Amino acid sequence: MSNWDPSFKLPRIGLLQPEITPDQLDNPVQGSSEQLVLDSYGNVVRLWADSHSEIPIGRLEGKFSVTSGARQVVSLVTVHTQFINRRVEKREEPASNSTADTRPLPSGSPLSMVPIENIAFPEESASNTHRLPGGETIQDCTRCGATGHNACQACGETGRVACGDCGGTKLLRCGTCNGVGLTRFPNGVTANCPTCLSRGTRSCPSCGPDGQIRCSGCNGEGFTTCGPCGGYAKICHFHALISEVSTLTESYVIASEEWNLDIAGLSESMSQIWAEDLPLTITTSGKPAALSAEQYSPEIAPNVARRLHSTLNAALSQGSADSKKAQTARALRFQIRSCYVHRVGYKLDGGGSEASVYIAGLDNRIAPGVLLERCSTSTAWFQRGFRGILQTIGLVEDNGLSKNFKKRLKTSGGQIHMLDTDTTVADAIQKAGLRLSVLDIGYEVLSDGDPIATIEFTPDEAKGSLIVIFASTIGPAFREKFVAALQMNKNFSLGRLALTVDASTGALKFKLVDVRLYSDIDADTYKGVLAYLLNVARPHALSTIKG
Amino acid sequence: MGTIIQRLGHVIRSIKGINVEASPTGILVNLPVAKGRRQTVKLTAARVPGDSNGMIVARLVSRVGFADNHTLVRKLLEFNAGRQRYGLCLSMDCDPPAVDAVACVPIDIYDEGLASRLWQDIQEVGRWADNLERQLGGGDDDL
Repeated sequence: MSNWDPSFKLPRIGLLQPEITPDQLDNPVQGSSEQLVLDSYGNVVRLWADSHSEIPIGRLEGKFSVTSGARQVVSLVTVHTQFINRRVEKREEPASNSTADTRPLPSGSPLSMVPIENIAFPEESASNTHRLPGGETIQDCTRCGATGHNACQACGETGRVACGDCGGTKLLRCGTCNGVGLTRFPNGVTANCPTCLSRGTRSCPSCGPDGQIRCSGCNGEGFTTCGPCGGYAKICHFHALISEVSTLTESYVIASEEWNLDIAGLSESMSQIWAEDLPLTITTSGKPAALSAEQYSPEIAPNVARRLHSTLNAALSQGSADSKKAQTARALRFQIRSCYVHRVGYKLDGGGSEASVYIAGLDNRIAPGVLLERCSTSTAWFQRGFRGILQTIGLVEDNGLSKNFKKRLKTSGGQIHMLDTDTTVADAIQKAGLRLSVLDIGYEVLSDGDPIATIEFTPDEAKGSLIVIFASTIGPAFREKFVAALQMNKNFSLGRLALTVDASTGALKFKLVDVRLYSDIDADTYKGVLAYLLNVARPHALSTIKG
Repeated sequence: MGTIIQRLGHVIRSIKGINVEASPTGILVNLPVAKGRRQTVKLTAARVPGDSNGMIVARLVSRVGFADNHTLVRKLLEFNAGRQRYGLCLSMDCDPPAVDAVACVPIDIYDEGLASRLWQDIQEVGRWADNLERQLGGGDDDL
């Protein structure tokens, strides 16, 4: 899924983001071949590329061309449903005065006892308590027998407890001699401890002669104030209204065609096309009434309106399964945010087939998708050389080349020719009027259907670069031709004659070999190299060696 | 051709410790390559024959040593099958025949960075030839 580049925002271009009216929300995808529009697409992409150092704009200028454009209105519909659940609970508190509000409690549903306020669609659930008037009773406190106090459990009504420091022994270990009774003086002499007079203990300073201290639980009084009645000996019973508020938010996307995009990341860059609050609905039993067409805006595009209608009704009926107990109020708020999303087809020269990039929103955000990947690989040699290519295809860690990369390539299906990320070599072969087939090691070059050379890709791990090795078999190698072969290399403009040993037969063969860095070649240059090697050097070598 | 050679000669002359001899057809660069060792690299440029769209190739040659037996010739030919960017050739202008390291680099004469790229190649070829020369156990700086 394509994600928007958060670092790129461009002021609105009216041509790409005209005003959208509610009746246009279900417009089909519209293609454009207007040069003005295509140029605008190209400008946005170039400005974006300019902010990426890994895509040299100078190089992209000559290599990048917009080939097609299409747009569609994409809408993000958001429905907020605020639920308000209420219930009445009995509560109690100390009766600080003797008169109770004995008026009758408010009757009816908890939802109507107190007006509902703040339809705010809060992001987090909240709860509040409201004391209802009337219905109060005052009774003697049963916890303390209407005395207002209870016996202190900590001290057993004595008001004193054992000292925590000495445990009631009245003695503490002497800190000077650590209870030994002897201490070593600085001059090295060990003698009786002068602090405790060699007793090893000292008197506890915290407690009195009985080893006890005042009880902190009752402050020495032997009893505590009764908690429920607060010492008033009476309890007031009243009723409280508990109100819990929560919001359910649902979003969905409306688009004519599903493009591979992350629309949620685009919502801030969309225009608000419609927003409306629907009236509060109170449900005390049964299913809530469905919305009628008049209760929501009928002025938006019909297809969008129909879907919105069903979504709103689904939201309204949320929680209706327990409707017998439900004392729920629901408020609905919906909004539609829309923008044009453009799919821009482009080609990189020598880069193979067309690919797409997306431009959308009021600030022309861009989802680089394939473009970033292709550009960063095709121009990796600008800055990172071979390492960038390997990183892109996941064969190398950040800290260096993978030593067994070739093995991994083979086990992944022999796709080593994928290292020709720009298709530089493949294009060169075809420009030279030759055909190619894919080998485990790279390409095989065909002339009139016959293989005449191989082109192998392999990393130069010492240099951290990719090297391209051309090899074309000339014929069997005989000793008397060794000097002529090596001498011939002096006359070659490109390539060299080499001697190889067939691993299976042990036969010696002459080969024409050419080795270059992938970063040093482009399709035109390598086409020239191939033309020389195959049309000049190879025939010359064949005639010399065979002659 | 003269333009490339002149541009390169101008760049190289500005580098300390490098001796340069330039002629209209090429330049000889004598540069330090290792502890107290120097190597000479000859640079020429020529248009590639055949259907190569007028491609121009810079050719860098540096002497490695002398081939005085057939075993060595075979080893040099086998060495050429390796993955190094530079090859070896045999020059019969002298006796015994000389072994030269050769690099052929297609160039774009309008490339602004051409001189510095060629200078890098000269250094690499010089060092590479010096390494081989030490392996062969002898040599001559003159081309």
